[in-house]
Amino acid sequence: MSTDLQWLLLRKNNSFVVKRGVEVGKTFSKEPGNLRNLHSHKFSGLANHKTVDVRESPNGVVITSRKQKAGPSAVAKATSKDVLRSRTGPRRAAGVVAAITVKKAGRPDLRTAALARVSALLAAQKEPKTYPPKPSRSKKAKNAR
Amino acid sequence: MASRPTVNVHGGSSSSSLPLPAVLTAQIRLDVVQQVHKSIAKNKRQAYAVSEKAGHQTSAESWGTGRAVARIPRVGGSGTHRAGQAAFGNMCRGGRMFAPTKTWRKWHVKVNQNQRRFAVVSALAASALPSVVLARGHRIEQIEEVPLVVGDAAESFTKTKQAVELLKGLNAYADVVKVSNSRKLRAGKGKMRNRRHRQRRGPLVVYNEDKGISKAFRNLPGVEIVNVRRLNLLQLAPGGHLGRFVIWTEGAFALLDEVFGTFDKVSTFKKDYILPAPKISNPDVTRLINSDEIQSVVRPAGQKVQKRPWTQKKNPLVNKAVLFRLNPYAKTIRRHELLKQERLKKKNAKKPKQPAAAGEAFLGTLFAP
Repeated sequence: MSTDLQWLLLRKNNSFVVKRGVEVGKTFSKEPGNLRNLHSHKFSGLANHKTVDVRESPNGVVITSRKQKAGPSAVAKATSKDVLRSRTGPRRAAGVVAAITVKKAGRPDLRTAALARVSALLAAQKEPKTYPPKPSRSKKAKNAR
Repeated sequence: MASRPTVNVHGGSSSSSLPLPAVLTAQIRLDVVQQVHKSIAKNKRQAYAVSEKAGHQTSAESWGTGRAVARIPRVGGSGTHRAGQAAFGNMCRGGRMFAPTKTWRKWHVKVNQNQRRFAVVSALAASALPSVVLARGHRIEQIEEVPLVVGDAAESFTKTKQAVELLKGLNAYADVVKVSNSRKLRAGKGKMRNRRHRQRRGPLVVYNEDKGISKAFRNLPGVEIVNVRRLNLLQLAPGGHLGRFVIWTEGAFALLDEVFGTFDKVSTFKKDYILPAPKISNPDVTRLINSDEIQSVVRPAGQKVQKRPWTQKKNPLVNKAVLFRLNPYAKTIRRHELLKQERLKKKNAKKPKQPAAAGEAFLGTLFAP
C-alpha cells in the first residue's frame, strides 16, 4: 500500500488529529513519530514508511525510528530505540539525533525538525537560572537601613 | 511482483505461516464504506411517532371574521384559561406539530448487495494496514504484526481467563484496557433506555468454528466475536471509520479466500462473487515515476535554473531597468518623450531680451562732447 493512499485515508479524520488550530490556519496531530505535531503527510508518523520519533522519558531523551528493512505489516518489531543518556550535552545530542534521522531512519528531510525537537526537550529540562534578589531602590528601604 | 506475502500465526507452540488472502489487498474506498455504513446503520432503528391525537383533543372552531382576532380555530366555552385560545395549528401553543411523525416512515434503506460486499471487502483490507488501525485509536503499538493471526487452539477456549492470557501474550490486552478505562456514563435520556454506559470498541475476534471461543471472549469489554462467514460492516468499520483491530484464528484466516474469493477465483460462499478489480495495479506514484519504463523514455533533466526567491521586489514604475524588461517598447516611448520635450523646450524657449537701442537724441546727449 503506497504511502500516498494511506495518507488519503488518514487525512480527513483520525484519532490523533487536533482540529482546534484550524482558526489559526494549522491542524495539529499528536501521534508518536510526528516531529512537529503538524497534520501533514511529511510529518505524519502513521502514513510514512520511514519515521523518527523524539520524546522525553525518565531515562533521558528517547529516539525511536522505524527500521528501514522492516516489512509493511510489522508493528512492534519494526521500531528501534536509542536513548540519549541524561548527562548528554546539547552538542552531542544534536549530533546523535541528526545522524539517526538522516542515516538510520533515512529521512534527511526531517533533520531540522528532529534537531529542533531535541533541543527544545533539552532546554526544557534545564533548570532556570537563579539570580540574587535586586536591592530595593525605594527611599523607605534606604532610610530603614 | 515478489512472492506472495505471508502472515505468521502467533500464540501457538508450533510456528507456521499462512499466505495473505486476496481480500486484504483489495482496494480501500473510504467513500463507499461511509455511504454503505450510513445506510446499513439505519436498518436497526425502531419506529417512533407522536400520538395520533396530540393537539386535536379539543372542539375548537374558528370565530370567523368581525371579532378583530385571527381566524384560527379557538377553544370555546368560558371559566377556564383555555377558553378562547387558538388550537390545532402548528403555530399554536397546544396545537399539533407540523407534519406529525408517523410510525410508517421509511425506516430501512436498501443497499445493493454488491455495494455491501464492496464495503466489507474495503473495510477488511483497511484492517490489514497498521497505520489505519493505529489511526482508528486501537492500542496495537506492542503487537507483532497486522493482520494478527492466532492458532486454532483459541477456538476451543472456554474460559475468559484463557482469553485474557492469550491477549496478554500477544501484547493486545492494552486495547481491552483502553476500553475498560473509557467506560463513561452516557449523557442524556439514553441512560434510562438500556444504553447506560458508553465505551470504545476493542478488538474484533474472528473465528471459523465456535468451540467455546465466543463464551471465552464475550465478557471482555469492547471485544466482539464473529464468524468469518458472517463478517459485518458495522463491526468492521464502526461509525464508518476504517481500521478495526481484527484478531483472526488460523482457520478463519485460511477461509478468507473461500469466503470472499480472489481476484480471479469465484467465492464459494457468495454466489458468483469475485473481488473488485483495482483500477490500477500499482497505486504508488513515486514508484511509477522512478520505474525503468518511464525513466527510459523521459528526457534527461536540464540545467537547474536557480531563482533567487527572496530578493527585494523592484517596482517597475520606479525602476527603469525592470520596466524595460517587462515592456521593451517603453524604452521607445520614453525616448520619443524626451525628444519631444527637447523640441518643445527649444521652440518655447524665451528669446533673450534684446536691449532696446537707445534713441539717437539720447545718445547724442549722452556722448555730447
